[in-house]
Amino acid sequence: MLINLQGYGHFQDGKNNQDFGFEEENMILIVDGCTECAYSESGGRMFAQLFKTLPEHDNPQKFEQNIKLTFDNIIKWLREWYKDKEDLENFIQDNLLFTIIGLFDMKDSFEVRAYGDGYIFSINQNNILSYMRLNYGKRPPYYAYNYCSKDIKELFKNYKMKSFTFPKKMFKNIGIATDGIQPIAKGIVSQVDKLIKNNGTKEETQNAIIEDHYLFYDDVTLGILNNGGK
Amino acid sequence: MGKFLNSIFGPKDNDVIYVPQKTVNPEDSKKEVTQNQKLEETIKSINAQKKVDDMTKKVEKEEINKESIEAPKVETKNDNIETEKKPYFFKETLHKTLTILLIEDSKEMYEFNKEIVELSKRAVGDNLAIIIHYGKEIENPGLYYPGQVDEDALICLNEKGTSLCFYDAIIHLETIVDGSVFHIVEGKTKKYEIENVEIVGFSTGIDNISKSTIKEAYEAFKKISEKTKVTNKCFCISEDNFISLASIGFHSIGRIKTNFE
Repeated sequence: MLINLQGYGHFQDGKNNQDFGFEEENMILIVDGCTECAYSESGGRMFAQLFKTLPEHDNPQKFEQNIKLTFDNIIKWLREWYKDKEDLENFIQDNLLFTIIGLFDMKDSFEVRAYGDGYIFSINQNNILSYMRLNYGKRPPYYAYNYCSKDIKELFKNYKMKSFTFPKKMFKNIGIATDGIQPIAKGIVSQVDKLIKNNGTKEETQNAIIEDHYLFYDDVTLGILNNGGK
Repeated sequence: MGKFLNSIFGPKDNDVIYVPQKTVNPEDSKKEVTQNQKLEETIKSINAQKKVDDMTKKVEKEEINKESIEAPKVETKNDNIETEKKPYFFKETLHKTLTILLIEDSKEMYEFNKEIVELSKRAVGDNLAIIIHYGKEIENPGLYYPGQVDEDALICLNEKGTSLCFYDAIIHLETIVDGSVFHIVEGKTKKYEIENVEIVGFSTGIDNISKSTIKEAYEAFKKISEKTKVTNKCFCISEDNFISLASIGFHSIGRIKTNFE
C-alpha cells in the first residue's frame, strides 16, 4: 500500500506535492523533496522513475550503487545544459535535493535503506506499532550534495547511507514514510495507527488522513508492504 | 500499586495536622482545688508521656520514610502507617500527568547528559515525575538532576551500586504504570490525581544480562502499550539502537541529538 497526499500547509501556500513514490510486489521507494527548494518535486519524480528502469532496482545490496548510477546519468545529462559549475550547482540545489528511502521484502527480513530524513515504522510480533524518526535537523544529508562544491561535500563527508535489517521473527511488517506523517507518529491522529495495525485498506487509511487533513502541514507519503510481505 | 505510589509521593512529616483539644470550666475548678491539682499532675504526666511517644513515633516515621525512598517495594508495612495519619483539613485535588523517566546509566549515555537534562525538563514540566535509572551497575544516579522541577514531585528510585538491566527495568516500569492512572497521590498541601502517564526513555535498548527474559520484557511492555492513558517515547544515541527499541515496542523512537555532525 502506498499513500501519497499533498500536505494541507502546502495546499494553502500554493506549493506542489513534493513527495513521490512507487510500489512493487517486493519493494517500495519513496522520495521527499526538500521544502526549501524551488522545484524539488520535479527532480524527485524524475529520479524515482529513472531508478525504476534499472534492472536490479529491487536488490537492497545494490541500492546505493543504483542511486549513484541514476544520479551520475542525470548529472551527465545536465552538464550538457549547464556548462558553468556554479550554474549546475544552483540547478542541483533547486531540483535535486530529496530524501530517498527504500523498503525491500526479503526471505527472512525486511531491509530498509535511507538517505536523508523520514520515518520507518514497524509492527512487532506483539502487534505494537513503533515510529522511528530519521532526523538531521534543518539540513538533512541529501545524496545530491555529492555533486556540489567541496564546502558542501565536506559537511556531509561522514554521512553514510543508513541500513536497517528487521528480522521477520521479531517484526510482522515494516513501513516507510516521509516526515509529513509527524501528526500520526506523535499520536495526534490515532485512527491511522489502528488501520495500519489491522491491515486497513488504502482508501480507509487515506480517508482517515483526509479527515484530519488540516493537521498535516507537510506532504504525506507512507508505504507499507501488503500483508507483511511474503 | 496505589500504596507504592503513596509510599514515594505520600505526605512528609512536616504535614500540619489539626488535633481537637478539651476545655476546662474555671468554676468547677474552684470547688475542687485538691482534685484539680491531682488532675493537673496526672495531665502533666500524661502529656510528658505523650511527648515522649510523639518523639518516638516521629523518629520511627522518619526512619520508615527514609527506608521507603532507599528501597522502594510494591507493598510494605510502612504504607499502613502512612494511611493511618490522614490530615483533617481540606486538600485541593489537581489533575496531573505522571512522567516516568527511564534512564540508562552508561558511559555512552553520560556523554549526552546535557541533552538528556534538557529533554527531561521539557518532558516533565510541572508534572509529577519518577526516575528509574538502570544499568549494569549504576554509577551516576544523578545523570539527570531535577533542576527546576519541584523536588517533592520527583523521586529517584535507584541509588549508586544497584543493578537493574534493560529488561528488568521494563518489568519494573510496568509495575509502576499498572494502576497509577486515576490514582490519587497525597501531597503536603494538595492531592494529585494522575490522569495520564507519559513514559520517556533514554536508552540504547541494549541489555546487559537481565534477570528477566526478553519474553517477559515483551509481555510487560505489551501490557503498558495496551493502556489508553499511557503514552511512551524513547530517545537513543544513534539509528543503530532503533531495531532493539522497536522490537520492545516503544511508540516513538528518535535520536537524542538530531543535528547532523
